Amino acid sequence: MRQVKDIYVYIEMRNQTISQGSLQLLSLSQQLKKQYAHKNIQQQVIAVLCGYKVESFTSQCFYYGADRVIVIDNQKVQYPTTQHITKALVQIIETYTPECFLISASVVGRDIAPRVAATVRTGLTADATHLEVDPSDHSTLLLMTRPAFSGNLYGTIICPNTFPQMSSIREDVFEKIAYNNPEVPPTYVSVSFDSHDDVTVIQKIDKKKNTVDLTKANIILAGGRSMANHMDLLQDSAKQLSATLAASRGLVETQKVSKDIQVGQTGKTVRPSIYIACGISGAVQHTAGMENSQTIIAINNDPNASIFSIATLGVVADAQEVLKRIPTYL
Amino acid sequence: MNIIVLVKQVPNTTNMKVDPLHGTLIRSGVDTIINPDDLASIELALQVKDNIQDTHIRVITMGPAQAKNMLVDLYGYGVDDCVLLSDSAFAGADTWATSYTLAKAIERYPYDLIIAGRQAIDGDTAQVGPQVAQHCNIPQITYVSKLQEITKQNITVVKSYEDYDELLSCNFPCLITALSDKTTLRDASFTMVWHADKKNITTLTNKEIQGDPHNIGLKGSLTQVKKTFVKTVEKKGQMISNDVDLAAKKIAQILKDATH
Repeated sequence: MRQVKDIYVYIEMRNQTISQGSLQLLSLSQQLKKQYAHKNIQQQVIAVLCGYKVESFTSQCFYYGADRVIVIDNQKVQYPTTQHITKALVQIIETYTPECFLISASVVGRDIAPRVAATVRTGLTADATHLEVDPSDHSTLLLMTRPAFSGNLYGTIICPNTFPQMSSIREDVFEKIAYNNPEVPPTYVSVSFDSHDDVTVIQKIDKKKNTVDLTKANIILAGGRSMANHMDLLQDSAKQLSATLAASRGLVETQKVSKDIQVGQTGKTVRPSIYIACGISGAVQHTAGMENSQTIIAINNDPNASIFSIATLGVVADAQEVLKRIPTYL
Repeated sequence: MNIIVLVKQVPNTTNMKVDPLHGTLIRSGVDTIINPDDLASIELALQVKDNIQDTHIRVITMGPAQAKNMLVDLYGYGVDDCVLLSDSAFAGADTWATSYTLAKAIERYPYDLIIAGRQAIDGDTAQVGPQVAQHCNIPQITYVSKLQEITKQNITVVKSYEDYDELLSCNFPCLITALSDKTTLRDASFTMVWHADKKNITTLTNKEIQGDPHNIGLKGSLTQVKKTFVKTVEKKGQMISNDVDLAAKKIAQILKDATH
């Protein structure tokens, strides 16, 4: 068997900065490195930074957990195109034979990771939300756990016979941690990119900027399907409580709100200080995206709603009645 | 123009129940539906057909024999040909083995464009589309929200990222993946539904597509499911029933504590 070692992380550049998801993966990898060390297996965490004129971003990689940084600096990978990034990552895998290769499950990551895995013929776990090293003796396997069936079931996946063990990891599930690792000179790798581009970027279109970044919100006020007829109240309350508005899949399906504010398995993952769920029953589809909130307040007129099982404070009442009265006490 | 659309029949996960003791799905009584993102794929294919003369749409699905019903339904929307890939040897395939198998079937037919749904609601991996593209060695554009322009040589589409969109073009052959939240399938045509039953469905087994037995089904899968389980959450919070004022007061207090 070939010699495989180290945990590699693809660092995604998004809007001229490193994506938060990539930095979270560096910190996660440090935790995996520690678990390997307990089994007397030494691994390093290696950031693979692909972009154009990205030297200045290496410091951030060290800060959040990289032991070493590999830089592929080329105009061809200025934007994360499938063709060129795939080529670069395949070359890295073939040259260095990593033990593990982690990629953020962003739009870019979910586009590139399957392509890379199919090229090097290794297994790929999608959208994992929990990773650990197999505690059994002599095993170097990663146990990669992910939700399936819209969050109704979790599966722990292994990749026992091929390398690297690859997974895309859900963004904003893990926290980035300041490891402040010492900076060593990065390794520059040159890749012989295809001269032609399969896909031509004609234009970047900015989305209308009413979109707020839910993942950064401190207080979230979320509505379920039953709030569709009380949208004015919900919006006014969000303003009064200095909260950011979010929605369950049910409310999004009524088309009263945009899909951009959907929280859950098929929406965003959030972990605000306070999450107020109004008229949300608490299907796993939804809770998968908010269960890590510090304080969860659930208001629902069904005393058996499953949302109450994860709520810090549960209120059995019509959400609109409660919302109307909160300002009185503020 | 030849289009191949990849479709999957999936359990309706909204009504899904789990057996918490064994950590498995209770499949009996759960209805099956056409995967939502795949309906968007069909719509995009029909939009091409609206615009380019002599467009032929072939649907390929992999699954058990019962998936035939789904294919009959799809004839009602105006697809031209349906192929069912069905063989017990295909069972238990992960995304690598699935995409290998689909690519072997695709090889048998002419195509300019392959359209797949972004992801299926049972597995939620979004990996089969890109891996089929890799096995077929053609370019891909994933997360396509809109068909902007189509000619006989190339396609121009809008790709949806987290916080921006991109207008992209690609020459044929290529593969794109479609999003159900951006594209809705039109209504079926009454006349075509009427005739759907009489349409032929081609069934292919591994004998026809000649997949390497080491690359298909559970045996060909590179990943393994070690275990499945249902997440349990313990009850932890305080409950207030009926006293709306007390509830509002408590919530206000929590909010004030957080901001001071």
